[in-house]
Amino acid sequence: MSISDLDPVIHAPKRLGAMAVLAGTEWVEFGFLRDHLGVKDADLSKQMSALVEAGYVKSRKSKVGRGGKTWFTVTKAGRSAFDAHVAALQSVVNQSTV
Amino acid sequence: MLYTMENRTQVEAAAELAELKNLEMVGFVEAAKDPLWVWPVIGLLAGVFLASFELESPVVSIVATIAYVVGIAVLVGTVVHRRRVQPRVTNMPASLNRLFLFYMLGVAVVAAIIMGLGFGVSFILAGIVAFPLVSVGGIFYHVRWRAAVSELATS
Repeated sequence: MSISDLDPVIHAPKRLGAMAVLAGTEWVEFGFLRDHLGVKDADLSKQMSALVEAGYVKSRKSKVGRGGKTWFTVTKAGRSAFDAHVAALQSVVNQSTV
Repeated sequence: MLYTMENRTQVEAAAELAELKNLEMVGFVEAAKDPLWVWPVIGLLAGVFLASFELESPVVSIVATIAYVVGIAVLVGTVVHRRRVQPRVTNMPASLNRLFLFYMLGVAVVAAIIMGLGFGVSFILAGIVAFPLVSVGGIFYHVRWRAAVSELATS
């Protein structure tokens, strides 16, 4: 593994942050992600659409609350991509200690 | 300190890994903030559910079962929607995994005690015993969970 193995879809900081939150959870609500990543609604919406399009994230709407809420979960492919990305980062870190 | 390009990448990668680890923990941190009053509510629901079997009436048993299932579903749904995140229960950090297994073992022991009381003595007694056992056991587990998450978040 090297820096060239870093996944371009999730390498962008906001998408990577969203993937990290999703990797530790079963389901996450849109507003929770927005608050923890410190991004605007439109920006997060764009980032999450890219992850959904890549097949790394699934979304569903719940009817609870005004206008409903959008919840996200990481897919098997998304978890594998995130784990591989973390492994690639770890190998970059380990190179300094060899 | 000046970094070579290679070292700079390594330093950045290490910082990124630390940040990712923190973000992976946010679901567990949020779950630790759940209110403790949910445990006495679960205990009360379980107690009433068990006690209802003393009447030996199929209608009462069916109504009590539906009330118990709906009550738990509403309670869990309310808590999850309030916190806006559902942490995973598989591949948890080792300390949380141990705690969860300990909790499951506790649930099995408590279930065995109250079912034994129910079938052996009285379902009313089983319901009365279930309330404090579920409440105190749940709060004990929850407080331990908070401590474990706090330790992980600061490590």
